[in-house]
Amino acid sequence: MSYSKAVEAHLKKQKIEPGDRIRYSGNKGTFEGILLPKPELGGSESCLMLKLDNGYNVGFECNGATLEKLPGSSVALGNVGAEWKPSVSTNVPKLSLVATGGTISTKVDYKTGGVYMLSEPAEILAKVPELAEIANIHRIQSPFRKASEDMDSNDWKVLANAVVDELNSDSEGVIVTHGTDILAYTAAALSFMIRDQNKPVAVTGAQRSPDRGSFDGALNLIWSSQFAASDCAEVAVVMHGSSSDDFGLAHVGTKCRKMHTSRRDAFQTINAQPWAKIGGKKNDQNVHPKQPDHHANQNKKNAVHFLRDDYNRRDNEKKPIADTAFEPKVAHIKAMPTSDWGMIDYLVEKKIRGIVLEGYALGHVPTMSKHSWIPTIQNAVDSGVTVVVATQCLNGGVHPTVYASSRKLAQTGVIQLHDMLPETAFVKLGWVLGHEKTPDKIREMMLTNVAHEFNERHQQDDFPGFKEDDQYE
Amino acid sequence: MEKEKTGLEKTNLQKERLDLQKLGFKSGIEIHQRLATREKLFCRCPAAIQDEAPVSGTLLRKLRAVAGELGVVDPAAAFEAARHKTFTYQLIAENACLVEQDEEPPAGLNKQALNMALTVSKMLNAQALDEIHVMRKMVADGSATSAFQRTALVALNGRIQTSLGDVAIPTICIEEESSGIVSRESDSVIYRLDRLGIPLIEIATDASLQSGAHVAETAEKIGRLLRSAGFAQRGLGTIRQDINVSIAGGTRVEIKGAQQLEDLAALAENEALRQHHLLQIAAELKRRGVNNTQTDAQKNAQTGAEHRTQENPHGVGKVAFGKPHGVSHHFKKAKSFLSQPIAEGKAVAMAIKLLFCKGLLGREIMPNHRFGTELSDYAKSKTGIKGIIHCDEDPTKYGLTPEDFKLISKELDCIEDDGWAIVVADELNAVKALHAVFDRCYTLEIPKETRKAEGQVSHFMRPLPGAARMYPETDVLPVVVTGAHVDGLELPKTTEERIANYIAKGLAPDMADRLVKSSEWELFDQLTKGSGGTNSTNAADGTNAKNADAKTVAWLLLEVKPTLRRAGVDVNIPQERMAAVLRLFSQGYITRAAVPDVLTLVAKEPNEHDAQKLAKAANLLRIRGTDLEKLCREHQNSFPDIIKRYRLQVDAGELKGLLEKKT
Repeated sequence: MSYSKAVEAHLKKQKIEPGDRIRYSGNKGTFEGILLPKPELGGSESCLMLKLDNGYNVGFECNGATLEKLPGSSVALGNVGAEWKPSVSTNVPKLSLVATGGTISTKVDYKTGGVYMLSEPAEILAKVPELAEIANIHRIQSPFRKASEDMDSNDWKVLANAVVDELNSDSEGVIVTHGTDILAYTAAALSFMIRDQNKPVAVTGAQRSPDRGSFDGALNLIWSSQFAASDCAEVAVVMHGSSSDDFGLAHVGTKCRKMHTSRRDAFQTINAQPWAKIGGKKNDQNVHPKQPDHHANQNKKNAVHFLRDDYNRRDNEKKPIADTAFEPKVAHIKAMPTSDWGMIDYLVEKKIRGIVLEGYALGHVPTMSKHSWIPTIQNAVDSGVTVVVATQCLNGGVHPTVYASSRKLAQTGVIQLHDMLPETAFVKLGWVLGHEKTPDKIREMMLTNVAHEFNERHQQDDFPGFKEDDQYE
Repeated sequence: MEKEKTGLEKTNLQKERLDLQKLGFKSGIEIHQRLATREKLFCRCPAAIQDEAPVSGTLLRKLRAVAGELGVVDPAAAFEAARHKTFTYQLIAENACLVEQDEEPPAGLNKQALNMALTVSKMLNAQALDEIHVMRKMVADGSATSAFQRTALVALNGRIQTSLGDVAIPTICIEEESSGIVSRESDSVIYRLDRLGIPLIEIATDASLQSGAHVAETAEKIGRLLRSAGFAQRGLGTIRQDINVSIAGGTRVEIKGAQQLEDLAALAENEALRQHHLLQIAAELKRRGVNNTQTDAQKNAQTGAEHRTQENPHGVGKVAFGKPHGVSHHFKKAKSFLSQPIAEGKAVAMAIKLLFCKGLLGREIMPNHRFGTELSDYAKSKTGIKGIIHCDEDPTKYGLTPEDFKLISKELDCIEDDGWAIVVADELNAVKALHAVFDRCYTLEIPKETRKAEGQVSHFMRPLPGAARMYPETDVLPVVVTGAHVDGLELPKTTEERIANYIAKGLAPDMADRLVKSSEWELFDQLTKGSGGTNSTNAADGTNAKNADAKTVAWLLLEVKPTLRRAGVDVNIPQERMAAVLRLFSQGYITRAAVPDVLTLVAKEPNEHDAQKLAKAANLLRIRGTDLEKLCREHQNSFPDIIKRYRLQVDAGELKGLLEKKT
């Protein structure tokens, strides 16, 4: 939104621009303040927005008012840079930062309230000066700057290459900062695209912007640094583990999902346990007993408490590569009551190459009489479209034989993906179709556990639910 | 000797009559009143809180100081953040949701609260803004989980009448209430989240208030206006007054959180007194040889610099922070509450010399508040230590002797008018605290401070926030306020109009005045709705009046209710049950004299909704008409006899009339 044409004309006549100090005289009195540009949303386009000397922004009706530009007192708007000097500590781990965008990389123009992307990626670090005490972020690159909802698979390719560059540098680990909207998708994409990973990669973001004293990204960065210095050569999503500022969790890149729109602990590992808990109580019972590696001490010092042992260890002999071939023609369909299977025909016509079918419960779709999805799915498979099935329950897995519905579905030639998250299935299907052309090879790859996307043993604690003891103290 | 000296000064202080005008006294107030809305300002939690609501969980937060809109960190925010505090929040499921936890974006601005603020603005002849923008005001003391308080300027340029003329009200805001403190430790604070986000109206006057009494009067007027409008929440802590005070040569100091109206006058004038004495102390320090500026004191505190020595008794003009000196040995042998931690090695006693300060540290600058208290407040708030000991105190307070004090002076190479301060704490904090003492001591200008009211004096809380603390709340859209909307807001009656109305309803002027000042007027209005004039006053037959007359209602609320409350009766009786008792009276079923007893019965039997049944069971129904005539015959028409035996059941007026008719 901007000011109305009449207001713009009024301002132009007086040679007044946003940032100028003006005197406003209207029927409510005479007031002085700095003229601000109109915010993007809300308010009336004929109201002038002023910042008064007491710091408040207010709106005055411009119609019928006289304006006067006060001399020599304009302020520069949108100039909110912050200095950052790279850490020069030598006894802390050297890490790389690959900054993309998102809330963690924003700054507020305090004059206007507008939110902007940081112009310098290093500015992120200026928000967390204490990071210098635990890590030396000595390499920074920013391959692109986008809010994550605007990213596509080409950005994943660029990002994977950037991360692999850093994995091949003398850094001990890599931190990727990212918007939280598709952060989990990106973590899955990196998990598949980075082959022969030698060092940790922590993907992190923020649910509260850096302008706030309650900025959660500061601790997320600290925990990410600690994870990046650990011996876990995996891609992990490192974010708050609870609503409190007490510990972080390193989630499995392929089994992680954003489960809340706004909470700090929005990210959760589904159908499995996270890799590690970072920080929190010192006498934690979750420190994994089997840590024979040279980084075990480092893990301990950094308070990275592993919750599982099946991760790939740091291995400097490995030479990571970015294997980024990706087929973007993949669609995602969710079975819904009364939803029309005709859309699958449409996708086949549109030459889509893969479909993720998010079925009910154990992987079901309607199979009875004229509402049956089976013929159209059969047609898709016969036309060479790869159809994979995941569950919209998220927790638990699809099963090929329990009910008739999934048996019928299995007979069409779809690939049932056990407990793989639908979003991970989407990313993996794009990646597999980028590599394989024959149905057999595609099936084999889809069902191969490439980056911990399957968990064949589900434990009681893998499903959160209501825990009576946690609710009241 | 020190004690005598202090005592003497105190007497002088009490005698001192400050000529406020001559001092250049300037004061303004900000009234913060919780609004009686249904919901909070930015979420749909109930705005009325219950202290006994259970804690449903806890939340832990570390808050950071961030650069404000000018790219600089606000001094108040930096000060709080430097304390590395951890904040714990008690979750109260009934009154707080994810918005208070800073885990969900705010909902829109509460329209009811906005309309109340706009109505108050109209009552104060202020100009409502055409567009209202919600701002974030940074607060790093942990009282808000988001580290900011949402606030919006609603109206400008109002005024209120006082006995000394109109006082300008430049701004009227609505903002979020902060969280309430449960407990405070040196490195952590526990808050409850139920209070956070309750709508507050903030009404600020300009700095034209002329005396303590004027401050109190203006605060009372504004408070009364809010209550009379029916917009004010009731109860302890629902209204708070911040006072701004400065004198010529002094500085603007903000005193927060005064809750008692009767303390306001003293608080304002004591602050003027404090600034006046601090200026005198600064002048005396300069006279004795100190030539520091604030920055010098701070700079030298970091680097250490020249000292005044025995050889150079007049000093070098600049005072530097000397090396702290261990004085634990004096406490080890003493019988003092400080001896044990020192003996156990848990604390040390560290001292620094305070050049030229002897006699000044003990000088009283407000009642029971010495210059030493000021230094101590700074040390406490920066480190969490319990307090300091200085040379102008009574050594026996700490189990020491005057001889010990002399020895300490000697060990610190004090000469002439040199003083000293001691801190007992762990070494790191002790040194940090002594730096704070030193820096404050030689800051010769009066620091810009936010102070906390404690009774009639105030204590240092944090530096006064700068302009760097406000920026727009981007999650909430601006609200357009049209002239038509403001015009359409119905104005509540003013106190004066209300008093006049009550008098017209039949109350005596003093009763009307008492009623508007009490918390009962709303109930009074409800109970007397529809009853007009005085014609139904205690009519002998009493059967026509649908509603109780105003006098009886006022008597019930202002006399009977307090009496019963003092007698231990729970008089929080729902309005409709109260009305039922009044109806029994106005319709002639009970006498006026029986009203307190019937009300007591109703209070004690909350499940019995038939008041008449209760009265009947207790034999409290009125005897009237033919029954009364019968009673007269039985008692030989003896007025005293009947009244003595049937005081609660017989209306004296009716009885008298009946007997007169017979004779």
